[in-house]
Amino acid sequence: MTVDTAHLLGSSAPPAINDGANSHAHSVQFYTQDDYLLDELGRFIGSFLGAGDAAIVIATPSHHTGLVQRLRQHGFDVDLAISQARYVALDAADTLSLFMVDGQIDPDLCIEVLGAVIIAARAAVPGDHRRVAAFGEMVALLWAEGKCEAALELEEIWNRLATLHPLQLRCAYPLSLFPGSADGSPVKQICSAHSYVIPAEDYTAIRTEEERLTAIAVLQQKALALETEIEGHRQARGELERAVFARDAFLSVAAHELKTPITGLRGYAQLLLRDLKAERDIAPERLEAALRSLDLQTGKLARLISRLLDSSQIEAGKLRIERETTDIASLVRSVLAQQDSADHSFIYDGPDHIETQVDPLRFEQVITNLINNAIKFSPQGGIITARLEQHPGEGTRLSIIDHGVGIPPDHREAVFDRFYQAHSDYDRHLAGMGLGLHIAREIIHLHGGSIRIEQPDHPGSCFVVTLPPSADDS
Amino acid sequence: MHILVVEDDADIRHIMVLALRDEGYEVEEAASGQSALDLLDRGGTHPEIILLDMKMPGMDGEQFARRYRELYGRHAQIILVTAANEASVHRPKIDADSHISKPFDIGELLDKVSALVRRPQL
Repeated sequence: MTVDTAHLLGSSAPPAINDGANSHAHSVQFYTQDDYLLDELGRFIGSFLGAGDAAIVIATPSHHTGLVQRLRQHGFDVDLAISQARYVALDAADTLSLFMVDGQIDPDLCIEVLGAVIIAARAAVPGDHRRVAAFGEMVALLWAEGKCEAALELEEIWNRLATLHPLQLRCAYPLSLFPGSADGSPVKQICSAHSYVIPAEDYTAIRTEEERLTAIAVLQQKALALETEIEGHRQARGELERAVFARDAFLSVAAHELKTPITGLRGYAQLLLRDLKAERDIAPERLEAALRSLDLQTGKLARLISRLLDSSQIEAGKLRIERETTDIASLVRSVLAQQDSADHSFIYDGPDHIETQVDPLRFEQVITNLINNAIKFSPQGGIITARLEQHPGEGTRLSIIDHGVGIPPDHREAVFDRFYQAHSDYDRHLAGMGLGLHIAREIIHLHGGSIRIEQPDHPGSCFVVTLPPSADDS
Repeated sequence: MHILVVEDDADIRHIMVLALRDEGYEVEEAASGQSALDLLDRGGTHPEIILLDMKMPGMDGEQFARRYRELYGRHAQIILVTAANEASVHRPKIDADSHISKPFDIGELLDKVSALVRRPQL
């Protein structure tokens, strides 16, 4: 038998010499690549077979195949060793099933089964200094099934067997078994059950102290980088969850906002159809109410859809403004003139003309949204004032003042958030889709301006828009 | 047969009132939970059926239903009219006798009403 012992003994594994202390060595090998495991295992088992000792391999079928391949490459006559009963190959899952009872290890049965295998292997080797190498993967199978306690129990049973027999033990765990344990606790637990640890590949070739310290520094840096990355992912996930929550709440409110006009449209259509079907005369006031509703509600639906589109453009950063010289005073007056709420009166308080550099269409939208908001938040009616002021060097200030229910101080920032009202418990009925004020604020920001809510000296709200001086508008 | 329609949206309320009157019911209407309670408080013919919207300003449908049961017990049967997707989930919450989802079909609404009319309450 030609044996490449020089290569086999050049292993980084613990020395396979029966010097008493080491004869009970119980080492554990971690790995990420099968090739690394099998190369190391080939050296370990090969050193025993080469020295005329026995080896027990309790492994998965693929590891058995890989190991036999490597032993043959090194010139071992594996078939001969098998026929001499010096090489015992057992399937890990089958062996495990011999002493597992109701998902638990039966310790007595386990010692009996494994002990018999060890005794048979020892008997196959002639002479007094008969040694047995044992490699086992049953612990890794248990761990993979989530039976971590049972795996550690089996490790201790192997330790007990090693006190009874001249065993050199090796077990192996793929690192992929511990994906979610950032604190390394399972690996620490496993290591403490062993007398020698072989880390996963890349760290076994370290020869000098300098290399060792460098490797530790690199690992520390990697660990820190990973922790930072994990924290980043955790935060991103939190943000995503909040966004999904806001979106779901928004969808529920949007569905309600869309269903209400549709209910009216469908209802009037069916009322008229029922009249036609029953061959009743349609009362003119009924027809008028239906057509009026059709006109009003389709307009409302179209506005809702525009807002949704604006909002998605803002989110995508695609909303653009086109500034031109605009008389903002007449813009404000024209928006007020368009209001037809019978319960409210609208007052313009400001100069006849103020020239500013704004996007007239978008700014009209801002004023309209603020006026609509003022109407919505003063359901009992009342005066709504639009006050326009311009002070030299201070820009333009537009205040929309209502006498409504007001906005509690702790809501004054959040009302401008996208979908804000969609998930507000603050009088749900007043909540629209939570887009109007958000869109207004974004348009104002695109103009370099700002918006805030002030408390007027009477109950109600005062929304203040400030635009920078035109000179700064470049 | 008297029916009270409690709904804040003027169009939807108007449609329900017209459809019910076309069928010969005596119908009264209220735009909020509070004005419905005020109406009942003023006396007159107490309705046998109340069509009740859930989302209304001020006192909403749920609050109205609770107050109604406190004041009048099960005198009237309540049909919940809601745009919420889970109308049947809201129904036990307000101890309603029936429910219909918006946007509703008028024929279905009238069927629900006449089913309660045929099933006089205990």
